[in-house]
Amino acid sequence: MRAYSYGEPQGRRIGKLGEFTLYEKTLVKGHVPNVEGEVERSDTMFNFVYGPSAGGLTETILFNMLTTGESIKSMSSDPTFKMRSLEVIGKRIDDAVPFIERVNGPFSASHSIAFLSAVEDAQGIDVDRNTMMSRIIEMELERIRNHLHVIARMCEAAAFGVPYNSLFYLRESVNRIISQYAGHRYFFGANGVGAVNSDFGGVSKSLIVIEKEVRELYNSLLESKIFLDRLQGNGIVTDLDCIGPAARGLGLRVDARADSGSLPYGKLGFSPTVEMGLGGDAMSRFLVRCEEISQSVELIKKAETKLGSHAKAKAHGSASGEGIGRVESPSGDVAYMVKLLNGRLRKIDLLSASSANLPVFQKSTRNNVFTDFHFNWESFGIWVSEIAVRFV
Amino acid sequence: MKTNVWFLKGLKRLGRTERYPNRMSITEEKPKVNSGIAVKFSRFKRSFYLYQIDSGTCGACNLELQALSTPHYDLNRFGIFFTNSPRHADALVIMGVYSEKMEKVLESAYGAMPSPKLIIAMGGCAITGCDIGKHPKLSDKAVVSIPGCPPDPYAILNGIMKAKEVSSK
Repeated sequence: MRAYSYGEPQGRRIGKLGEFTLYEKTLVKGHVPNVEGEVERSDTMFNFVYGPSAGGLTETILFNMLTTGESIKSMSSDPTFKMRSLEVIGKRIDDAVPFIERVNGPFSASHSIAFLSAVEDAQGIDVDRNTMMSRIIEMELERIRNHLHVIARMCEAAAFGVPYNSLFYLRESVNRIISQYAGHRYFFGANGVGAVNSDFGGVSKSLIVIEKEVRELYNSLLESKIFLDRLQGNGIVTDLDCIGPAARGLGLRVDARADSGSLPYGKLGFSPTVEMGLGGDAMSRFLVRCEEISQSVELIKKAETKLGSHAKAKAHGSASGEGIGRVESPSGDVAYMVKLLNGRLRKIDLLSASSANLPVFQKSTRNNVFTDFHFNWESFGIWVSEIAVRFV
Repeated sequence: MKTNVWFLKGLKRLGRTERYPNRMSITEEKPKVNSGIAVKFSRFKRSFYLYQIDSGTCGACNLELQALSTPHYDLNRFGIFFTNSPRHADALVIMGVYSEKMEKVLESAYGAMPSPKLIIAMGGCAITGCDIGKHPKLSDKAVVSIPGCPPDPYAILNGIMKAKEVSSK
């Protein structure tokens, strides 16, 4: 491990990674549990079950809401209904990558790049500039697509047809751009150890029209009082352990692009988008995501100018070792810790943004009403598939 | 003209739906029709309602199915709709691999659907399980299988149209 060491907490707490707690610079043995106070149950309260399969949910998850009829007093969830077991232990790295890509399809680039960064860290492989910049472009394209999806889903919850359809139109346009440059709409097969199998030269031109339309829709949404009323004061985050846009909406300057060395965002002059003084509600997460779309387009433009020749790095490092890779997925940090033995995976642990933010989401629903639920849920951008997964 | 009337903004964006079938919609991933099961159905001549269940996906199939409602594809123009309850559904779209806790959920949803009803298995995971796991048990009853990882929206549209077609014969 080149960027992390075992020891005492150092820097911000990111979350649970296997049997450790991952901090910005260190791995600390054991878990720091989430402290959650119990709500005292009265006779007028009952349990309202939502899920595991319901029309309003994109994925399978069960929510248990303790309620008096309108406001949610507390919430628990069971994301394990769609638990998958991915057989990667003992596999060669190249054979494991397709499984890692399928941990979460919408964040496939984030997962595969975090995993490959961990492998390269373990093997001591130095990756060339072209590959690094191509990976940044992949990550930012994925972020644009996901943020468009999240904002569109928030508009859908408000039955706000024109922006919802317009944003989904743009999401599909980004998907087609990804398909054109990466060869697959979800980056499957685009990444390998020390290499990216795609050429992203010229991709920023395709994004100019999209960014212009996003900006126009964003400005118009900001003038829609009916829509903003649904977001303001909804799902207020009080937990400082959140990560990703939820944390940046709360005013915390936390972003793996700034504090992880896995990708050279520093060379592109990156600085996190943080919304100060908004109190960490769904509105603040909406603003962070809208601003980050423009920021991602700028990052892609800069990364594109730094693309060099499409040279493949020497992918022959030591066959055994231990490494950590951490990147900023569209919903927050994604980290992998791997142990390699004779070129095969001996152990693998995952820290996903969704597993870190799900308890934060649950707490944020307290004292909200049922109709607030979808705005809040969508604003976190949680994917159950990256929670309900284990490696065997 | 700058306007803050959403209706006018919608009018500005008319004409974004693509013709179907067109060159892009002809994909290599052809839906497979289980003709042995298909002959049982004969009543889906007009509207066709779908209920989707995620048994164990990576999330990509969910997004691709959702994309059918976007202006590019506009599923509703063919009389096909998503419904929020299996009680109103004509077809159950199954995505993802088998998971133990979802087995009962799938069976309950299928049991709640009114007859005639059919199953569409969408994506490699639901058809064979690929290498990710086993396929859900109900996939054996699928009238139409839509291969792909994930199948692109036109491949899904082809499959759903096929399911509607064979069931109306």
